[in-house]
Amino acid sequence: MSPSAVGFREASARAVLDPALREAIRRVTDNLAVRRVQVTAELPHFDVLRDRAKRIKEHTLANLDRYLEQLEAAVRARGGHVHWARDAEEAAACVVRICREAGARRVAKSKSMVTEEVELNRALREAGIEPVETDLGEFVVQISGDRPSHLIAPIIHKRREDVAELFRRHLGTPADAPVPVLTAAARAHLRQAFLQADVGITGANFLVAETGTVVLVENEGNARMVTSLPRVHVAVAGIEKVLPRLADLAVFLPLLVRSATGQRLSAYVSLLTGPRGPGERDGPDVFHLVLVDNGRSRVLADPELREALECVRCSACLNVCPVYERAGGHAYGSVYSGPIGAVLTPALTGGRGLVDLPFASSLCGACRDVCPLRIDIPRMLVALRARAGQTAEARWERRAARVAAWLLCRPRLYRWASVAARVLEPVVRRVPVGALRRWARGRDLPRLSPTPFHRAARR
Amino acid sequence: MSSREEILRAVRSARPGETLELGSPEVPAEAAGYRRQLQADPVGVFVRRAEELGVRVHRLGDPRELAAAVAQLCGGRRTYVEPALRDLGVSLRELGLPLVEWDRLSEAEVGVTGADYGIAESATLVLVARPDRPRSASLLPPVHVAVLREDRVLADLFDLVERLDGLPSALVLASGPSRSADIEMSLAVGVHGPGTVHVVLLPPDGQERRAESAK
Repeated sequence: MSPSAVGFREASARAVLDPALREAIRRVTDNLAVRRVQVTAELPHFDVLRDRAKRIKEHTLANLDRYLEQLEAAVRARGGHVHWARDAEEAAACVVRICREAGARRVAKSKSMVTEEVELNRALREAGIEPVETDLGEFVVQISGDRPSHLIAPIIHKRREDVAELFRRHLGTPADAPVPVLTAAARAHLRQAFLQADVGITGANFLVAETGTVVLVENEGNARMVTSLPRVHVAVAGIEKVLPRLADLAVFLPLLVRSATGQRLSAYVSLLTGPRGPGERDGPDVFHLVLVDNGRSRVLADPELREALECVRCSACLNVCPVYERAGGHAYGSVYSGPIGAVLTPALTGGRGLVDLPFASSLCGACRDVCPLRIDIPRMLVALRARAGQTAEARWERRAARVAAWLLCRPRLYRWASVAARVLEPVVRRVPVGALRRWARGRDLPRLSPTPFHRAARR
Repeated sequence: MSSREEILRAVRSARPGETLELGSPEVPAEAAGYRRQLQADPVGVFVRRAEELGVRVHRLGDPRELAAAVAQLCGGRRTYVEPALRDLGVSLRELGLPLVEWDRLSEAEVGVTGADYGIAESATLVLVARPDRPRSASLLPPVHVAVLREDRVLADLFDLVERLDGLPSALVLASGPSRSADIEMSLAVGVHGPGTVHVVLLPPDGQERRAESAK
């Protein structure tokens, strides 16, 4: 996970002052949220599917070692290779090694959050291998040197004009090109990337333990390209993505897709099992699955945060969150933004963003209401706030409160102090201490009235 | 200790003590009424929802109309026909359609393939990879023409997973054209996969009668 230069407070303070950004975010999130409501209401048994999915996830996480071993055996039985990576560096190094052994110069990637998490593209470039992002949004992110700001709509923060200008420079399209022209230019450009790539890299929406299957959910067809044309397919997945049975997809696919984009099913769902079969004309000769821990086993050991591993990355919680809508995805300083990101980032990293991310919420509970797995995000944010209470800033707050309590219990001293406070007030307001000023931002210090209340009351 | 051992050990010691049962994979009883509506007329639902997605559906009354119908859809454009539809390919060539071979697939403007199943609920084509049904035929050309038998249209995903016996190297569920809404939520089709999808529906038992007519 790339470290953020500034914390949530500073970044969000800047974002809320950008009306164009807020407008852009609202257009997307409102649209997705409305479609989600329409298409989930269509299923009278939607809540039954949610309950069943919850139970399957709880069971799977409680037996994760067994299902991972079953998955590994099933992938091997179909001629695939399985690799295990403890952390981000190991995961990136593993993919780089596979690419090197395949003699790869160019790799084509489909959209994957976990490869963003382990910063795979940086590792590939450092090894002299050129990664090409082929999802339209991720391609824009890549050529503009930007970061995705939404789990499934990565360039939610960019206007059409921004993309048109970018494509004018990189692909030579007209400056005022409408969306269909931009799309056609990207199609033509990326088609070459698919045909020339030696290795295709994908994430995984689900892994099926009993069959050794990687499931990819998408709308553009780039994941199909990446898993059909290059000689080698590498799927990178967090260990929490495993589901026990093929039949569980009949529960999870509708939940994920309806919650994410409000479609009944995405344009393409690929169920990929091992490399191409005998006699088949296309598909990879070699299939690798890289299973990534990178903090997940630690989250599993944490009874308060374990539930975060049930997340299927649908982004429904982002689309209803009043804080996300105003702050935007970049403010979270992590590939995982929004309410679930505020939990996942400190959980997976063992504390990064702990001082402000748990507070990036009004605890309104909309995220929990729309989550297809009913993940209790507000509960976890409160738990993280308690942990943030162990930080230096919070320790100073507690000390200050103790001093105030001591003073309030001594009326004579308090009266003297209130006189002193009125004398010192102009000075205190101009205190230049950085830490104190940061703390004071977003807090209000009302002017003291000329007459203290106890004196006014006596009159 | 290897990464594998270390991760598995960490997971083993981390997992919660209580073990919830996995539960049966059966279709939830609460879905019965909703599914009955789908099962009453799966083909009708499939056609309606496919058209909502922008797919053009052509329902043939007689399987012998297949070659003429497909030829009309291809409209003289360079066409690749998958090996599983060899008889159709022969007829299309006789009708004067320019067919391209596998090694020129990237030049094809139309890809013609069969579909193993349809799914009514989401207007989905189920495409099973095998030697005579390559993955790219329904993916690279900008137009995909899929041939589907009406009696292969299932109600929903529950029906599909029940029917699958083992998995091929690739099973693709394709619903409508390739699409993206990444730029300002405005829908663009044909981003990487086909932007135009036609489904030709054959009446039940079409395959046998088509085989006869091809002789």
